[in-house]
Amino acid sequence: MAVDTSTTPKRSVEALAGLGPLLRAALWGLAGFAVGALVTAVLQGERQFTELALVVGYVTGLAGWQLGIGGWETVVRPLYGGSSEWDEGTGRWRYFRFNTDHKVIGLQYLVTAGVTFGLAGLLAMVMRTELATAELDLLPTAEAYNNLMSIHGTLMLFAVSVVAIVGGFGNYFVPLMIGAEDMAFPRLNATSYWLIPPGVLAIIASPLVGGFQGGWTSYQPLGADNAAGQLLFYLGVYTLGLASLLTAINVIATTVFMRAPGLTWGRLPIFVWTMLLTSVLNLVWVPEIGVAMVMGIMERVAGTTFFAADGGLPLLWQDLFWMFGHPEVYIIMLTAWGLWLEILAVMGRKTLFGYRWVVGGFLAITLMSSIVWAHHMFATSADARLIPFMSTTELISIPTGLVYLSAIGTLWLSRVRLTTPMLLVLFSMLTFLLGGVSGVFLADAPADFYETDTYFVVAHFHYVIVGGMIFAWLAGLYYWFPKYTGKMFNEAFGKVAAWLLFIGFNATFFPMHFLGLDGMNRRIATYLDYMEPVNIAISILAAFLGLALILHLINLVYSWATGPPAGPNPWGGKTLEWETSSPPPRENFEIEPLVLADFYSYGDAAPEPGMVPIPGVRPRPLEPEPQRTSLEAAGIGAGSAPGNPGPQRHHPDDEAGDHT
Amino acid sequence: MTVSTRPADDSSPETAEHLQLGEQRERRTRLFGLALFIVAETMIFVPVFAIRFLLAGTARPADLDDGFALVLTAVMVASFAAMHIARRAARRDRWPAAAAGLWAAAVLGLVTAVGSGIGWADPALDAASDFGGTFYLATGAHALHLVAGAAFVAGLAVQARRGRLAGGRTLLDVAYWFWAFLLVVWLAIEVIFYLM
Repeated sequence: MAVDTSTTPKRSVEALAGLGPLLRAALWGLAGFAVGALVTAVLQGERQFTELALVVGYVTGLAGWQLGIGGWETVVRPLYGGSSEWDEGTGRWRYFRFNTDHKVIGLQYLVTAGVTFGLAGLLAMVMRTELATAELDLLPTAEAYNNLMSIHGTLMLFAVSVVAIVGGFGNYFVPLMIGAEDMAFPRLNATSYWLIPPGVLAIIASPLVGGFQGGWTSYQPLGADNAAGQLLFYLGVYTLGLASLLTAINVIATTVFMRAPGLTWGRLPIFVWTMLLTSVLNLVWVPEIGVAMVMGIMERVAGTTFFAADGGLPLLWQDLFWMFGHPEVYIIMLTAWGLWLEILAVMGRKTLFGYRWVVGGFLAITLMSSIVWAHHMFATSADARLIPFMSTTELISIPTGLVYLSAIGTLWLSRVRLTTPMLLVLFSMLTFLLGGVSGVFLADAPADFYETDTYFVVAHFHYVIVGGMIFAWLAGLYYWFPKYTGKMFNEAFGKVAAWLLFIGFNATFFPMHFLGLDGMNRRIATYLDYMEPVNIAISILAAFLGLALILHLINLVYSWATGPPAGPNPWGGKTLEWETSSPPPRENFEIEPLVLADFYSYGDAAPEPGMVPIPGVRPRPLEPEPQRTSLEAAGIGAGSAPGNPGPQRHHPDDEAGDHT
Repeated sequence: MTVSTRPADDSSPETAEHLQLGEQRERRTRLFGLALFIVAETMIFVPVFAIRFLLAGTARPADLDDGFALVLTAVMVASFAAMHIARRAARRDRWPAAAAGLWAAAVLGLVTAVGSGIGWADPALDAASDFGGTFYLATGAHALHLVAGAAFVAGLAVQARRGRLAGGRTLLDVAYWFWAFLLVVWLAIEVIFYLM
């Protein structure tokens, strides 16, 4: 939305006013932390900063932060009968405050996830530099390396992978794709987003109190023996999980109740299906890991012995962690698959192949993802009860195969437009497939005894998560770039960066398979000399991966600032988000859309209309059709453009560049 | 841009019928959101109860004060009864009675929370034992829910006293069902930790 900010006389005054809520949130958060921590320390009679004071201070600080950013005006004050009006801000300053517009929140998520991704990526570059040689030379201690590695993993998994697509695209595009005005609970939505920054900051701040060394899984009983940074891991992950949980409630309620008339379950866009099922997984399994995090905190501050080596069950942590942690893999991937299929159908100009089959596959994955968690624990004990998990893990590749069936069936004989998002989707499909193949080795219990905790595992999950999800995220960032910015990105630049990313990624991570099989353990700062040549090569090649990501960032940021206007529908997409202006107005659609057919009938000889056109918004000329004329007679579609002279051969490709 | 949760009194083209439909949809959406929230909450307490059996089996300390727990159960039931009365009164537009019922529910809920905190001092409990750890986890989680819930119910009581609720009666239904859920959880705690 082009908001005129030039009328404001003094930019610095404007900036201070615009950042006001954020400054207030920081102040109230710090005050809450100080009060909570001090009161606890006084009540305990301690003269020093205790772990309990840290926990209580974090909780009161988080409450202060939420109230300060807008929870006071939007939730607490109206609840107690006070005024229920608040200021949502204007222009760019909307993004720095409590704003209930799902499009603002979506961009907040995307940018936050991007910044976190950059930070965690920088940590990875430090790690690779350290690992270039067999000895410890860059970092002072092996513990420092472990801290970096742990923060890298925790941020990447809990603050990027499960947030970037689900929080960013989910918030921005689910209401648009179902023709809704906003999410079902807009205030809850903004509250969820504002839980993300404190969660990320807690994890980043953990080195201030000693860091944590157990990686993103933080296995017990090490979690109880680590420095106090471990507490910030528990609290940060808990906060991020809470955000995911509240978003899940919102997305499910939105999808069930806010769909436009005519948008039946059988017509639901595939990305919305994946968001819905991801949210079901979040809803059911995030509370579980929340319990685990609370138990971890109690282990340190309340003297419990849930996970103690003597008297407790250390494996209980792993069960609780992976009962969330494996569904989390599908929380990460389901929406990435949804993006693949959306982009494949649009860029291939072909009907999405096997819509019902792939939705069935997604449902099966959602159900089955809950019964595979113990394959992460094969090496913990030689217990025959773990063997069934080998079978379920291998079985889940069948519904996953349906996703590939649909993707390849859509590609088959299609007229592919090899744009940057399409290229990235193809790369994502290939790298995820390679990650899936190495996953079969790890799913096999006897082979896993050999491969567990080696760089083979590191290679595997980087192939599925970076290759699968991050590539798909980038593809989505390009695909929807015209929609959320209103601008067009530089196609040639994007393609070069995409190729560099693909080559850099494979050059970095493919050799790790061999390193793992040759005996290099994961989570180590030093290793035996014979592995040094491969490690040097990986460290150098990883720089290309980093460079490629920076190039993508430059393209996106530069195009956002200076790109040519994209028009409402540059790709000729049929889903509802393309039926409104770019970026969409506050209420998304000028009139409520009416869905008359499914969205994926690309390439039909006479394409069905997706919906009634919106007057004045949709410049694309459409063929006159009987359905439309009757509706126009009823006065609904009046104002649509005159008919296209060549109705039978009409192809949305031909007009892709014609928009103004 | 200033936003308000209350519908503006502008002359919108929507008819009264449209508005009514919108209200109905909002009510259903809110109750559905509550149902989802309760699913998530259930997934907090189910693992906690499972861990109690996993770590300690069905054993419990023989000298645990279960008489005190019965008193707390009675208070919790009374709190829910007050909530029930408040909901009935609000349905008949008797707002002062509704406010009184809500206040009673909030206060009795807080009493249950504080009471279970007092119960923590029972010498039969040891945080480092298999039973004690899960006991503190379960009762602590329940007490925190009661405290947060009481803050919410007190807000509704303040609004009810003025004769209106911002979200109509839907918010009251939300509070009612949440309170019913907390009662069920407390009864499960009573059975699993005190009676078994």
